[in-house]
Amino acid sequence: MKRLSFCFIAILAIYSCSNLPEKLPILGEREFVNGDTIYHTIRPFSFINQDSQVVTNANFKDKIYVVDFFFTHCPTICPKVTKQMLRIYDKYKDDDRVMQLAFSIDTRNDTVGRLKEYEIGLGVSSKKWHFVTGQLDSIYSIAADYYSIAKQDPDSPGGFNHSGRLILVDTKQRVRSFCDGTDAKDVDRFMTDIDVLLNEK
Amino acid sequence: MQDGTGLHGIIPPLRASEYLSKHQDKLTCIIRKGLKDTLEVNNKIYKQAMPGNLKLTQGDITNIINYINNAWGNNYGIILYDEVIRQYETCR
Repeated sequence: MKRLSFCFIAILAIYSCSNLPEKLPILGEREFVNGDTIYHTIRPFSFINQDSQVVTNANFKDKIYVVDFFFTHCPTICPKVTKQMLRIYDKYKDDDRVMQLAFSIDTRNDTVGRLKEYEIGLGVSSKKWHFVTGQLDSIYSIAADYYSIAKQDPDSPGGFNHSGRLILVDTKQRVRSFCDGTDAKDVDRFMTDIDVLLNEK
Repeated sequence: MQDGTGLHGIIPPLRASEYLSKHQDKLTCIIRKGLKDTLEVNNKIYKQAMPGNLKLTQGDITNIINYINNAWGNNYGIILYDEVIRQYETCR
């Protein structure tokens, strides 16, 4: 045990003293086909954003983006998560390579108008941060692609159960990192991952 | 949020909030039933509705009010359990 913890500390020290790692892992299942590795990717999607514009994978071409699942009248963790999303926004707002995508999981209440009000309240730009709504089923299925949970649940406060995860997706629609969006420290680590991904060659 | 600052433009602050200090007689109802009105707090407008929480007991609400009244440097006094019960009766 002692040796193990020494190793751990040593690794930690190397990790924190050296330069950033060069690459993030590619997360999720993978298949090997004729010698090629096929990674898990986000399926093609189409939703409506706060400006009533259609948002598809094409909006994220050559961008990396951060995803979360929320609803505007959420009584529990979403405001905390949104506050962390706002930190990410502030850090990368002048970097065109980074975007943000928030899926509403309460599509009945979160109309385009509501989402627009939310965006205006936060004072962010729809060029950088899409708040989207659409078919409830499609949102619940795409949540699985992001390895997140989003579902209706009458027993949960506000009527929906969801993880407070933030998910980092690369330019090839592959999931590269996660964090707990309610934990500022974990989000610090996540933002380092964003930097690593931006510097990947 | 833990620091009482709310969420930029969406959720008003509780820390140094004139709204909080001026609406002491309505806090039980607000916590219980939420709010739908547009609010002006410290010269900023907030339109997002606040969800209520009907599951909270009178004891819970007393504790919450005493916490927000005195956390983050706030100094809005102590509310007594009897006063929360009185307010609670007006908004069942």
